[in-house]
Amino acid sequence: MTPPESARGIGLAVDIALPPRLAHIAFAVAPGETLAITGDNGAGKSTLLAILAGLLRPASGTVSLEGRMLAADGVHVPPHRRGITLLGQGAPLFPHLSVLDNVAYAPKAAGAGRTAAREVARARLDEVGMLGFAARRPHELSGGQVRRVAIARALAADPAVLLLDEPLAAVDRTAAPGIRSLLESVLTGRLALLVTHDPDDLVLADRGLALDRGGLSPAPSPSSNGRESSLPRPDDDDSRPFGGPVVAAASLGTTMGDTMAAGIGAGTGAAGTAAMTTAGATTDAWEAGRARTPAEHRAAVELLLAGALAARPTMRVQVELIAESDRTYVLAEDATAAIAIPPFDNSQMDGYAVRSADLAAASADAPIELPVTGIVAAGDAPGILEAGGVAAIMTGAAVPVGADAIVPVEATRALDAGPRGFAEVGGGVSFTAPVASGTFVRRTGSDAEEGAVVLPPGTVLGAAQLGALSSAGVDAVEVHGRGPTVLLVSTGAELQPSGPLEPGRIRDSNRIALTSALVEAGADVRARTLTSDDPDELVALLAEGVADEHARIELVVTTGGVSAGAFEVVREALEPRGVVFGSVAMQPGGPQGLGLARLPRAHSDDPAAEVHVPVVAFPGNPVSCLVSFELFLRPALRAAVGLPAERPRAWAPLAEATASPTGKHQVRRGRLDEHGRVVFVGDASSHRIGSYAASTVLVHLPVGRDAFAAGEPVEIWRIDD
Amino acid sequence: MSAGAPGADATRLGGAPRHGGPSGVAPFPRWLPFVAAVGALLVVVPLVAVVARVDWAQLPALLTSESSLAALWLSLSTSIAATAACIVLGVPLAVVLARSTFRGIAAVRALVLVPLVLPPVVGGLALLYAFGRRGLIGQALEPFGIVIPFTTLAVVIAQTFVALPFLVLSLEGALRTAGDRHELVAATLGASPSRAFRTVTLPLVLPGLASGALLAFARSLGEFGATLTFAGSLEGVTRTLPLEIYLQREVDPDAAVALSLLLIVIALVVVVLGRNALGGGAFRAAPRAASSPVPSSRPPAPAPAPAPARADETHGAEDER
Repeated sequence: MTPPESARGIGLAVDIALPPRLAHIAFAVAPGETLAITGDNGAGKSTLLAILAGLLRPASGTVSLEGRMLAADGVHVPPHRRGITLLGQGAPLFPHLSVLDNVAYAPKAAGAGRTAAREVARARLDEVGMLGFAARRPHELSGGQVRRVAIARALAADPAVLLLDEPLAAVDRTAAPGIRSLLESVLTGRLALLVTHDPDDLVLADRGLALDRGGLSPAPSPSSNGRESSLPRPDDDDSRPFGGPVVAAASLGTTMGDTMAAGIGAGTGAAGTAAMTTAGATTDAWEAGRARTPAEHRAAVELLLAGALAARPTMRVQVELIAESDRTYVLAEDATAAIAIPPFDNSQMDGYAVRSADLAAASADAPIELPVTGIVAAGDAPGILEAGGVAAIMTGAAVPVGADAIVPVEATRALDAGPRGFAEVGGGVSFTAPVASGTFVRRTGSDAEEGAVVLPPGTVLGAAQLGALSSAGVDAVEVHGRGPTVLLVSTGAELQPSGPLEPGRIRDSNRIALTSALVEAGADVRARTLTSDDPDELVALLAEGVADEHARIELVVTTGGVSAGAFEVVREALEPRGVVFGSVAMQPGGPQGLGLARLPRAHSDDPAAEVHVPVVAFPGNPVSCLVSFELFLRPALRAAVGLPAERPRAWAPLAEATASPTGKHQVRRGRLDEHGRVVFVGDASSHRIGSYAASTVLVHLPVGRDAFAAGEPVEIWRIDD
Repeated sequence: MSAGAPGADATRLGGAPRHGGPSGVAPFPRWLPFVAAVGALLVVVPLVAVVARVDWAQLPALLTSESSLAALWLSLSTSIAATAACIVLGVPLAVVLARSTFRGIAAVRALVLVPLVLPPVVGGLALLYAFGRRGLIGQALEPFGIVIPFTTLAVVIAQTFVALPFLVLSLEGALRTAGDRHELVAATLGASPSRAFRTVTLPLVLPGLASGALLAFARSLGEFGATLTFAGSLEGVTRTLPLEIYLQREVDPDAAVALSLLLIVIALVVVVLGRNALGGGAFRAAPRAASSPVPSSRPPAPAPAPAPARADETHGAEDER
C-alpha cells in the first residue's frame, strides 16, 4: 500500500539474531505498510514479535523505529516507551476491568484523565462495533467479541507499530469473517506486522515474508494487495461463467442444450440494457408475463451478480502453505518457472566429462589418453575442467565448466582401473573415438526454460500441480481469494432452527444445506432464520445485516416466501423494493425472485437513505431450494473464485420409463446402476431432501416432452464429487 | 464441577474430594469416613469441652476485667499492626519470589518460609539475639536509645516474624496462578512497570492478598511462644490474649476459659469472613499456599502437606477444602 505523503518516513528496521537458533534476519517495514510473516511453529515468529515489542532482548543486532534505536548493543528501550502495541495470541483482556476500562487503559497510561480516556475508549469501541458492550466484563463476552475489544484496546494506544500474533487463531467460524474484515480496515495505511500461519490472513497484508528455522527465506515477491484486487477478470466471453458450458451444451444439439442456448440468447440481449433486475429489459419473459426458461433465469442471475462477482481479490500464498491447507486454491495468474528445469547442465550417464575438441583425433588405432583431474558426484557444485584433463562424472551431476560432452564409462578404458571401471583421480583414461559436442549432456532448461509458464490461471492446485511448482522453484503463487459474503435468510413461520420440534414446525434444513452449498462455492456466509410473517421484520433484518460494515454483505440469498400463497413474506417485503418475482418453467424450483433490492439504510438519520443489494430469492422446499442453487447460483459463484463452474456432465440411458410435465424442465434425482443406466431416487416431490441426499446425479428431463422411454439417453450432472 | 454432570449431587454426599472423573464420584474405602469422623471429633470435642466449661453467669465480668480488656486491646492492635507490616513487606517479597528467575531464589524462599516450621519459641530466641540489647542489630541501636525487647513493638515484630510466611505463600500462589501475561499486555499498551503493578498485578491477586492477610491476622492473634520469649509478659504492654490466658489458667481458670471462648469466637468470625467475603477462595488458597514449606520445585506442588507447625494456632483454617 502506498503510504500517504504525510506518513512518509523511515519505518521499522530490523536486523537481529533471532533466538533460539540465532538465525540472522533482516527486514524493513515502510510507514503505512502491513507486513505478514508466515512460517512453521517453532520458527520464532512469536519470539520476533516479543523482541520488537521489547518483551525480549535480541541475542544481537538492532531494531529501530523512525531512526530511533529501540534495541542494540547496550540499548534496550522498555516496552512501554516504544509506541509498539502487541495484539497477542488469544488477546487476553484484563479480567478485573470492564470492557470500557480495558480500552481506556492505554490512554490512561499515556496520561489522559479518566473522562478523556473513556471518551477515546468509546470511540474505539464504536469502531469495532462493541460500544453496546462497554459496561460488560470480559468474561461475559464471546470469543469473537473479546477479539474485537482487544483490537479496540490496541488501537486506543495509538501505536506507531501494531504487532498481531495469529489474530484469527481460535476464532470460531462465524465470527472470523467479520473480524478479518475489521482487521482489514484497521490495517489499511498502518505500519503493522502480522504473524500468521493461515494463508487466508495474507489478504490483510501488503507483503509477506516467510520465516523458517534458518531465518527469513527468499521472500515471495511483493504480493499484489488483496484489498486492491490487482487482477481484474478478463472481460472476454470465454471467461463469462456461462459462456463455455452453454456453448458446449448447445453444440450437442440436445433438448437441454437447446433450452440453455435459448436462455443465452435472451441473456445476451438483455446484457445490452442496464439491468433487467430493475425491470429494464423489454425482452425479458417475466416482463412479458411469461415464465422464464431455466437458462433465461440463470442468465438473469449472472447479469445481476456480474458487478458483485467481477474483480474478486486475489492473493499471494506460499506453495508450502497451500500444500498444508485443506482449502482449495485456484491459480489466478500464470505461474512461471523461477528456475530452469533442469537448473544446470548435467550428465545423463556415468562417465567422463570431456572437451570434445580434445578427442577429435581419437580412434581405435590411435587412442587418446587423458588424465583424470577430478570427480563430480550428483549434488556437487559445478567445478571447472582443467585444461587437458577429464573429470569422472556421475548421472545427474553438474557438468563442469569447460566440458561439453560426456563419454560413458563403458566406452573408455581406464589405464589403472579403480572402483566400477573408473580411473582414479590422477590416473589416465584411454578414449578410442571422438565425441560430438553436447553428447549425453542434459542442457539447462531443456525441460522448461526459466520464465516459462508452468501452470495457467484457473488451475486447481492439487498434488501434482504443487509438485510441478516446487520443482520450478516457485515458492508463492497468486491465487483466487474468498468469494462474496452472502447474507442467507431462510424464512417461514414453521421453521425451527434447533431443539425438539414443536407441533406444526419443521427443522430449518435450508439454512444448513445452503450454508454448506455456498461455502463449497467459495462464499462466506452469514445465516439468519426469520420465523415471522411480517414483511417489515424481514426488511429490518436485511437492512441490519447489510448495514454491518464488518460483514460487508455483497449478496442476499433468501429461501421461502416467494410464491403466490397467503403469507409470502419475501415477496411482500421485497416486491415493492425492486425485486422481481415470477416463475421459471422448471420443476422443482418454479417460483423465483431476483433483483436489486432497495433497503432502508439502518442507523441512518435520513429516513429516505437507501442501500442497494442484489437479492436471489429461492423457493422454500428443500429440494427446490438446492436445485435452484445448482442451476442458477452455483456456477456464477464458483467461476468468480476460479473454481470449475459446472458440475461434470454426461449422458446416460434411463433404466426405467418415466413421465414429466410437458411445459416444464424437470430436474430429478438419481444414481447410476451397475450398467451405467439412470435410476431415479425418490419421486419428483420437492420435499424429498432425503432422497436427494442418497442420489449421485441430477437428471434433466427437458421441456416439451411428457414421456421418456427406458433406454432413452438423458443429460445428467454428477453431484457426488 | 461441571454443571449438570450426572452424579454431581452424589459427589457431595459424604464430602468426597470434588475432583473425581467425568462421572463425578471417585469411590473411597468404606472405613475411611470413620477415621475421618475421629479426626473431626478431635478438633470439635475440645472446643465443645471449653465451651461447656464456660461460667456464663460470670462471663461479662470476667471479660470486662481490667486485665482482660487490656489484653484484648493489645492483641487486636498488635495483630492489626503486624498484618499491616506483613502486607507492606510481604507483597514485594511474594512478587520477587514469584517472578524472579535468578539462581538462588529457591534458597531465599526456603529461608523466608522457615518461621512456618520453626517452633515459635526458637523464633523468639532468634529475635532476641537479633534485636536484643546485645543482639546483632540491637547493640547498634542501643546508643541511640532504641530498645526493642519487652516492648509492644517487640510483640508486633514477633507476630510479623511468624505471620509473614502465611501472607507470602498465599500471595505467591495467587501470582503464579495469574501469570504475567496481563502485565506484558499492559507494558505494550504503554504502562510503566509501576503502573502495571498498581493497575493490573495487585487487582488481579487481590483475593489471594486478602486471604493471606486474613491468615496472617489469625496467626498474629494466636502468637504465643515467640512473644513470650522476645517480648515477655507485661500487662498492657506485651501481655496479649494468649499470654493472659496462659497466666490466668494458674490463677483463675474461669477467666482463662472465658478468654479462650473469646478467641474461639474470633477464630470462627475469621473463618466465616474468609468464606463469605472472599467467596471461599481465600481458604481454598490457604492449604495450597501452606503446602510447600520445603522450597524445592516451583511452582509450588499442589500436594496436600503437613499443617503448619502448630495447628492449634492456625484456628482450623487448614481443614477447609
